[in-house]
Amino acid sequence: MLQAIDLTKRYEDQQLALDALNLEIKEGEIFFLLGANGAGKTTTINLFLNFIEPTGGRALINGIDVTKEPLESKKYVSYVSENVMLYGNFTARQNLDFFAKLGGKTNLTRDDYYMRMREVGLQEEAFEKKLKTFSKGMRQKVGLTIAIIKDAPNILLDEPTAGLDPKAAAELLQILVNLKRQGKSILMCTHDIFRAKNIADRVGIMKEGRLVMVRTREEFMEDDLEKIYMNYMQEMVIEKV
Amino acid sequence: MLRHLIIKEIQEIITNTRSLFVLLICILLIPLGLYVSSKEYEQNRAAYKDAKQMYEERNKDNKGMEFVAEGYIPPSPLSIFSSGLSVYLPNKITTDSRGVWHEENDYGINNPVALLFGKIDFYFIITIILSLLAFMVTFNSISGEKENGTLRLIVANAVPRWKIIFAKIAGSYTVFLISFLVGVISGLVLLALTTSVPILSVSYLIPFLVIMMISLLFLFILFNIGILLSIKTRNSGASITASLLVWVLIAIIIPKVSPMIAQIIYPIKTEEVVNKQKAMKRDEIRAESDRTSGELMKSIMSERGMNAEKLDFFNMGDDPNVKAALVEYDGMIVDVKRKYDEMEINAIGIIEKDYHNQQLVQQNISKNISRISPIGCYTYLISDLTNTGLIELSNIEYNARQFSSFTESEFYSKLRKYYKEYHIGFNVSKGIFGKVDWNSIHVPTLNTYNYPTMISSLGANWIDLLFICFYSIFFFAVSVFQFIKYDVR
Amino acid sequence: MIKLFIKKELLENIFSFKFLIMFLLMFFSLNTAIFIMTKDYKARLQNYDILKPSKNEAFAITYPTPFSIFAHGLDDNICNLYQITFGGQIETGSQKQAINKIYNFFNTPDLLYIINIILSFCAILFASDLITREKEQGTLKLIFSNGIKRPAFSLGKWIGGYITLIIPIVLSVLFGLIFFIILAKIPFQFSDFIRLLIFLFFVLVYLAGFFSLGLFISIVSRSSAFSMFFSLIVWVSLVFIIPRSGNLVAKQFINIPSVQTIEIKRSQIFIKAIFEYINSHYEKSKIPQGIINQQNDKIREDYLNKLNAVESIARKITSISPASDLTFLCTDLCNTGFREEQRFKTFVIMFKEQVKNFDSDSDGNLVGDFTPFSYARSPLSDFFNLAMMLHFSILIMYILIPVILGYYAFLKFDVR
Repeated sequence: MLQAIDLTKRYEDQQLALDALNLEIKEGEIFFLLGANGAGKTTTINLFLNFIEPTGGRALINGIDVTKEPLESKKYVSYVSENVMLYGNFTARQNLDFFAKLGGKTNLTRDDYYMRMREVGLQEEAFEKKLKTFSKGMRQKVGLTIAIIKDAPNILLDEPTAGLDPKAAAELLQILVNLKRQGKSILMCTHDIFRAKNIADRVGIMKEGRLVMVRTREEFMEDDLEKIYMNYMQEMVIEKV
Repeated sequence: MLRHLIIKEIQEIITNTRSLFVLLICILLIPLGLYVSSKEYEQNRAAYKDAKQMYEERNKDNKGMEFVAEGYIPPSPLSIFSSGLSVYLPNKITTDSRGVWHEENDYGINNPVALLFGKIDFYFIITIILSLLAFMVTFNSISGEKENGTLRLIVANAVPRWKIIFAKIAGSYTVFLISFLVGVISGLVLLALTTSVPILSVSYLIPFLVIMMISLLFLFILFNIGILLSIKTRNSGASITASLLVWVLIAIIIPKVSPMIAQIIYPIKTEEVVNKQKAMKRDEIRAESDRTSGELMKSIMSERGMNAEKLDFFNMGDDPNVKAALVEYDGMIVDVKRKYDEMEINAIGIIEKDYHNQQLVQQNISKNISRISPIGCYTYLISDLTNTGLIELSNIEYNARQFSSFTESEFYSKLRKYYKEYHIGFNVSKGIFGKVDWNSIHVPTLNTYNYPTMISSLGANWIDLLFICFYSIFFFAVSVFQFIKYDVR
Repeated sequence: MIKLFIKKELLENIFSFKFLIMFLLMFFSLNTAIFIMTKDYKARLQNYDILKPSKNEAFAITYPTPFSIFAHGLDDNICNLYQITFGGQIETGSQKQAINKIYNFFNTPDLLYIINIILSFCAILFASDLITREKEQGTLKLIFSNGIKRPAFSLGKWIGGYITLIIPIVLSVLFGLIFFIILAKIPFQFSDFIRLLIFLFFVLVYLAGFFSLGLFISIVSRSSAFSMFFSLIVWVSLVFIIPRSGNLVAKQFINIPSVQTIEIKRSQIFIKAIFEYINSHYEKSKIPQGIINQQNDKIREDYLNKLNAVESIARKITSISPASDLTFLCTDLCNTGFREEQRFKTFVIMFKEQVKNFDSDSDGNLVGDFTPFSYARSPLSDFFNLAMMLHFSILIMYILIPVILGYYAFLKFDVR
C-alpha cells in the first residue's frame, strides 16, 4: 500500500514542486499519474523513494514513513525507471543477479533468473549477452524483471513505456496487469493516456505540482479520458481535490 | 550485502577496458623503472668500488700529516625505488690532520639526455603515472552510475548509503591494488633474474614493505580524491576535467611552487654567493695572519737590533743572534698561527652555520607548503626511506664527523708522535722523524657507512606519515559523508 | 559549408564546461610556469652578477638567458662555474644553484614542460571525444541526414576544434608575457621576439599533432570512453616512456664511464706528474703542466666523444616522440640545448688554452693578468640547420599522418 499525506516539496529556489498531495494506492490496484513534463510526477516518485526529503507531509509505504525509516520502507518497494542503461559490460543475468542480491534475494539460481526473463518475454539467446548490445525495449524488460524478482508489494514506475514500440509497451503493461493480480500496489507515471485507459484502476492528473483530478475506472470509462485530460491542461482555474 | 556490492564492483571494473590498461601500464612500467634504476645502482656501485680501490692502492705508502683521507660513500640499494636527491648528494668525504672535513660530489659533466627528460624510476611512476591512472579509474565511478541510472536503482533498495560507497571504494581500489602488486612482483622477479641488487635480501625486506605500504596509502588518497570529485560533479565530462585539474595542481604545481613561495616569504642567498663570502673572509684572516707573523718577526729582530727587512734568510750563516731570534720566533709563531687557524675555522663556521640555519628555515617553509599536496608528503617520506632525501644530507655530515675522528685516532694521532714542524723564517718545514712502526698505521678508509635506521627515518618524517594517514582518512570520510548526502536524482 | 561547421564547433566548445576547465587549467599552469621561471631567472641572474669573473680570475661562467623561462633545458649546466686550475684542469662548480633543496625533488616546471605534458594531454583528451560524442548524442546522424559531404564535416571539425584548443593557449601565453616578462623588465630585443614567435609556432604545431592524433583515435573507436583511454595510452608512451627510455637504450650501445671514474683518472694523472716531479729531485724546474694538460685533454676528448655518441643515439631514438622533438627544437631555439652546451664547452676549452700556462698559487688557482672569459650565446641564424629541419618534419608528420588516415577512415565511418 502506498500512501501520501499532505506530501509537499518546495525546492530551495522556492519553486513548489508538489503541493499537499493526498493519495492512497491499495493492494491490487494500478494507479496512473498523468500530467505534462514538470507537473510533479517524478517528484512524487522521488519522494516515495526518499531520493529527496519532503518539506511537508508524509509518504508511507506499507504504513512505514519513508523519511523516518528509509531503509525499512525500501524493502517493500520496487522501482522501474525511465530509460535505464544498467551495467553495459554485464550480461542480463549478471545485472539481475546483482540487483536481486541488493533486494535481499540471495539464494536465487541461474534457472530462476531465466524463468523470470522468459516470463517478461525476453528471448532465450539474450540471457547471457552483454547489456550494451540490447535494444531499449529489451533493456526496459530487464529493468522490469529486476522489479519482479524483488517481489516487493509496491511497484513504482517512472514512464517505463517512453520510447518503446507499441508491441513492447503492450507486453510491458500486460506484465503489470499480472503483477496487479498478485496483489501489488502499482504507481505509474506516464504521458500515455491510451495505455492508462486500458489497464488503470484509477487515474490522477497532475498540474503544476497539484493533483487536480482523480477518476476511477468506472468514472473515466463513461467519459473520454483524452478530453478530460486536455480540458485540465487548458483550464485556467483549477479545482482543488 | 556489502560483499555483493564489492563483488559487483570488482566484476564491473574487470570487464572494463580501463582495468586492462592499468594492468598493462603497471606490468610494463614498474619492472622497466625498477630495472633501469637497478642498472644505474650497479653502475654507481661499480664506480664506488673502483674509486675506493684506486684510493687504497694509490695511497698505500702515502703516510704523512699532509695526507688527506678520503671516504667514499656507497650508493644505497634502496635508491632503486627513488633517486630523490641522489644526484645532488655528496659521494665522498675528505678529512685532514686539522680535523676539518668536507663533503664532495664529483660532478663533472652530467649526462645531458637524462637531465633533459628525467628518469623513469619507481617514484616517478607512482607520483605521475599511477596518480593519473588513479584519477582515470575513479573519475566516473559515481557520476557514470548516475548517468546510467543504476545509481537510482541501487539506492531504491534497502541498502545503507555508506555500504554503497564503501563497496565502491573497496572494489575499485582492490582491482587497482592487484594490478599494482602484479607490476611490483614482476619487477622484483625481473630484478632477481637480471641484476645483483641486494634488495631481495632479508635486511631490506622490512623497508621494502614499508615503502609499499606507504605507496599503497598514497594511492588510496588519490583514489578517494577521485571518488570525491566524481561525487561532486554532475556528469562524467565534468568529472574528467575536474580530475585533470586537480591532478595538475597536486602533482605538478603545488610541489614545485612551494620552494618559490618560500623564497619569496623568506629570501636567502645562493650557495655560490656564500662560498664567495667565505673565501673573502678566509683571505682576510690569512692576510691578517701573515701581517701579524711578519710583525712578530720584525719585532723580535729589532729587539735584537736587526732589521728583518734587510735580512737575507738564505745566507744567514751561523749568526747565533739570528738563530736565537728564530728559535724565539718558532716558539711564538705556533701560537699565533694556531690562533688565526682557529679564527678562520670559527669565522667560516659561523657563516656556514648561519647559512645552514637560513636554509633550514626556508626548507621547512617550503616543505610545509608542499605538504598541501599528498605528493609532497610522499616524496619526503619515500626519499628518506630510500636514503636519498634530506635526512641523508645530515647523515652524511654525521658519518663525516665519525670518519674524521676515526682518521684522527687511527692515523693522524699515531703519526703525530713523530711529527715535527720547523719554522725557518717564513718557511715552514715539516716531516716525520724517528723510528715509526709503519705496519701499525693503515691508510684510513670508510668501510662502514651508516644509513639512518628505518625507524629513525620514519620518526623524522612523522609529520608526513601523519599527513598521509590523515589524508587517507579525511578524503575517505569526506567521500562517504558526501555520498550519504548525494542527490541521486 | 566548412565555415558553418567551424562556427558550430566553436560555439559548441566555447560554451562547454570542459572548455572552461581547460581554459582555467592552461591559464593557471602556463602563468604559474612563467611566474616561477621568471623568478628563477632573476635569482640566477643575480647569482651570475656576483660570480661574474673579474679581470684576473680564471673562471668561465656565462649569464643565464631569459629564454630559460620558456625552455630551461640544460641552462643549469651551461651557467655552471668552470674554474681553470693548475695544469689546465677544468674544475666544474657545484651544481647546487638551487638554494632550496626541496627544489631538486620535483621537475622544473618551465613553459616547455607544461606544454610538453599538460597541454599535450589537454589536446589529445579534448580531441578524443569530438567524433564519438557527436555519435553518442545522435547529432552525427542528424548532420548526415542533410546530404553533407563528409570531408567538409571532418575538415570543419578539425579546424574548429583546433581553434578552440589554441585560443586559451595563445591568450594565456600573451597574458603571461605581458604581466610577468614586461613588468619584470626583462630586456627583450627584436630578434628575441622573433625567437618567441618561432617558439609559439612550434608549440602550435606540436599541439596540432596531438589534436590530430586524438581526433583520429576518436574516429576509429566506438565509444568515447574507449577513445579516451586509447588516447591516454598514446599520450603516456609518447610523452613519458619514449623520451625517458631513450637514454637507457643508448647506454646499452655505448659503454660510457661514470663521471666519478673520469675524476679519478684525472687526479691520477695529476698525482703521477707531481710524484715524477718530486722523484726527479726537483731537477725539472717546474711541475710538468704540459703533460697534465695533454693527458687531461685526451681523457676529456675521449669522454666527450662517447657522450656525444650516446647523445646522438638517444636523440635518434627519442625523436620518435613529438615531445622530445619539441624539446630538442625549443631548447636549441632558446639556446639552452645540447648544441649550446657543447658550444659553451668548446669556448671554455679555448679559454683554458689561453690561460693554462699562467702560474698558480698554493691553492692551485691560476694567477696572472688575463682577459676575463666572455661568451655570447649563438645567434638565431645558427638555429636553422639540418637537425632542426628533421625534428620539425617529424612534428609535421604527426599532423599529416593522423589527418590523412583519419580522413580516409572517416569517409568509411559508420555513423550509426
